[in-house]
Amino acid sequence: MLKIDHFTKSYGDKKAVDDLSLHILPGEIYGFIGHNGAGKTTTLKSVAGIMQFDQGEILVDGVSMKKEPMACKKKIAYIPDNPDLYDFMTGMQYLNFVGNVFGVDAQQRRERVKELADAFELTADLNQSIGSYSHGMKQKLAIIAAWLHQPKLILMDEPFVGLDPKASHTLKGMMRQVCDRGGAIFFSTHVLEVAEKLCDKVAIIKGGRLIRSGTMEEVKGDTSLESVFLELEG
Amino acid sequence: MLKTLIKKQYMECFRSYFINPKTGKRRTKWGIFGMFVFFTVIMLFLAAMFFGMSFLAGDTLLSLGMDWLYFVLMGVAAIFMGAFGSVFNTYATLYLSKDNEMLLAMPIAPAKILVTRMSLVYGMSLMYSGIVWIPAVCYAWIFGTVSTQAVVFDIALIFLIALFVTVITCALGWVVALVVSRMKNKSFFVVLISLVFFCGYYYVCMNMMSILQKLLLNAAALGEGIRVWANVLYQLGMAAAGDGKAMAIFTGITLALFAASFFLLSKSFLRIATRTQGERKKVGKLTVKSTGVSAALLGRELKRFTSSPIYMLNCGLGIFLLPVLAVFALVKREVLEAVVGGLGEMLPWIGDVLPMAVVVIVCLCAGLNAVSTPSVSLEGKYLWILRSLPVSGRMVLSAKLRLHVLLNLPSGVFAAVVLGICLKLGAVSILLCSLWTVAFIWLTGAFGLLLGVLRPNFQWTSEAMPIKQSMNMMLSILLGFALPILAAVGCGLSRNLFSTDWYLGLTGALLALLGLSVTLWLDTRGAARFDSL
Repeated sequence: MLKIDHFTKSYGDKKAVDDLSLHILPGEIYGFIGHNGAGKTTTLKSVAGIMQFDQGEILVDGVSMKKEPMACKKKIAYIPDNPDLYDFMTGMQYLNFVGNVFGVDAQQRRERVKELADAFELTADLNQSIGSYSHGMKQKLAIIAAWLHQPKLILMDEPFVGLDPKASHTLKGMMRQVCDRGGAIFFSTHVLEVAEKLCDKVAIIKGGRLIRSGTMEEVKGDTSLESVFLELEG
Repeated sequence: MLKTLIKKQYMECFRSYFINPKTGKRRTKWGIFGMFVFFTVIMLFLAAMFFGMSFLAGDTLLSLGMDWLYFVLMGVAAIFMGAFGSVFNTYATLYLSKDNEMLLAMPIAPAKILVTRMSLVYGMSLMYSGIVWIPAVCYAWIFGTVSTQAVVFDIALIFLIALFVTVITCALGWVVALVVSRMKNKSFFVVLISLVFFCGYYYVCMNMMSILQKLLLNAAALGEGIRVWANVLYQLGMAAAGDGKAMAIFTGITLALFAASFFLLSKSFLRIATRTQGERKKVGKLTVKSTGVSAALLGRELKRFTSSPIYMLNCGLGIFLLPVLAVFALVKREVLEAVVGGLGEMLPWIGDVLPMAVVVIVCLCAGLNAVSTPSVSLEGKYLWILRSLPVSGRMVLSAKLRLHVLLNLPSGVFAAVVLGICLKLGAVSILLCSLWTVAFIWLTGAFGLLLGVLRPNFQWTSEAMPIKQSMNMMLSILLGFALPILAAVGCGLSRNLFSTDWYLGLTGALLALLGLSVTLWLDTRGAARFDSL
């Protein structure tokens, strides 16, 4: 579903991510962990097509992000760590905008919005201006918008920050459903307990370089993910 | 701490003078020097204009020995210029700054934040009122008889008038904030109120000569009226003329008003500045509106435009003015005909260039509408949304240009047709005027967008920065003014070579060609550049 091959991204002389290679298969929830500034967001943004990169290749479902960014973006959805959504729209207007861009037909859109907004208890607020939303509400709206066109690959940067426990639980269930129908999830998190319970595979990045990746069992062995992470980071 | 905050506020305002918004890097010394030279040239141009206005009032009043009345009139003009142009800028600076919450979270007293914001309002007031007042006092020093004391007072009044203007703009900004916080369709309300202000402003500006003449004819009665009914202004005039007692009174009144306004603002600042944006609506029915990508992007641009009073007022004023102008011309058709007839007796060729006059009038108004210019910078923190969606830079830029054209075209063509009919132009001339207007709107829209792509600024903390305080806007409006004026000059010079219709056809085609070239650049290199921002 996602193949990152020798991906390198620099800011001036500094390499933010250096020669990163990852392969995410359909049906996998892939966790991406590392300390602040390790290169997680840079990687996610490049995979989402937000950021251009220097070297390497990113293939989404076999399509090159470099050569065919539009075709790639149709297959993915991205949720940033701090969802700055259009304050000048209402929640429903924003969902309509995203739905129109992805060509989600009216009937499907109505059904999905109802199902997702009910799941996140946001239905009553969808006609309100996004400017009046709290961080958590914006996060929920960003998640609904991401799920609206049923993408094959969902990229999320710290998706659980700002969500209440019930919404976090709902999101975890939704992530598993995406994978069950053949999609994949690639997300970054600092909450190692969540990663340990939720992810099929995990990658640890340090100073822009991949230092460990594989199935959860391969990475953590008999210890906890936290112990491995602290040992590797130390 | 206050010094640091004020420094930060002014650095933000003049950021583009020191930092290149394109690269985010500090400009070279020569670059900074060039920016300030450009700013100085514009200020000198405005100062020269107001020096000319000082002549209108000063020529009579100074020779009559009514210096104080001259200073009152110019003082009112300075206050008018400073206050009415900055109400919404003040509102945005005081209450809508993006870093309000960040600063409030720090151990900084809200009063200090307010002082910081007001210092910028004062700086702006000083600039706007000074551009009228300084040429006015210079004129009086050169052509009048003034004492040393009067010169000292005149200089001190530069700063006092700016303080007086600050009080007025802060009070009006507070009223706007209060009303807006209680409104549902706040953007349109703000625009409506602003238009009332602007209509008053333009009425005064358009009738300045006749108002001034009437005032001068009744100078004695006017002087007495001001002394009795507007004593503050009387004290201002007397102070500028060198009266020590009047200077003390005006200073006292201004300082007292400033203290009172600061006290009142500080009472409500925290509440208004931390008010959550957006109104709470009832749940209502969730409406699904299905459209294509192109329409979705256009709709998004339209929502952005209509959600911001600052955007609508600064970049869309001509859209509202042009139909008003057309209807006004229709109503005053006979007067217009008489004026043209009168001009025709003095200048027999005037009838031949009337189509050009129509184009100049319409395009000078349409040139105010730089809708497309700040639209790239306004993406700001939202840019990630477009970049993550399957929409190309070309589609986004096309939507921005389409909005510019769609908003401007109806009012521009309507005004051109109505003015053409009022001036009894032939069908071909009216058609050519309309087509010229279309080409002009297209070119200015594309050029504004080109500037936006070449020199974006995503690091703003108040949307007033890309809309009001950017070099892009200045250049865009300059082009909007320069094009019709240059075309008119060219028309006059080539009068013996081409008929006006031919001239309009040729120059209109040239504009369309330029518009096409810039659009092609936007579609290719511009789009690629946007994608890499």
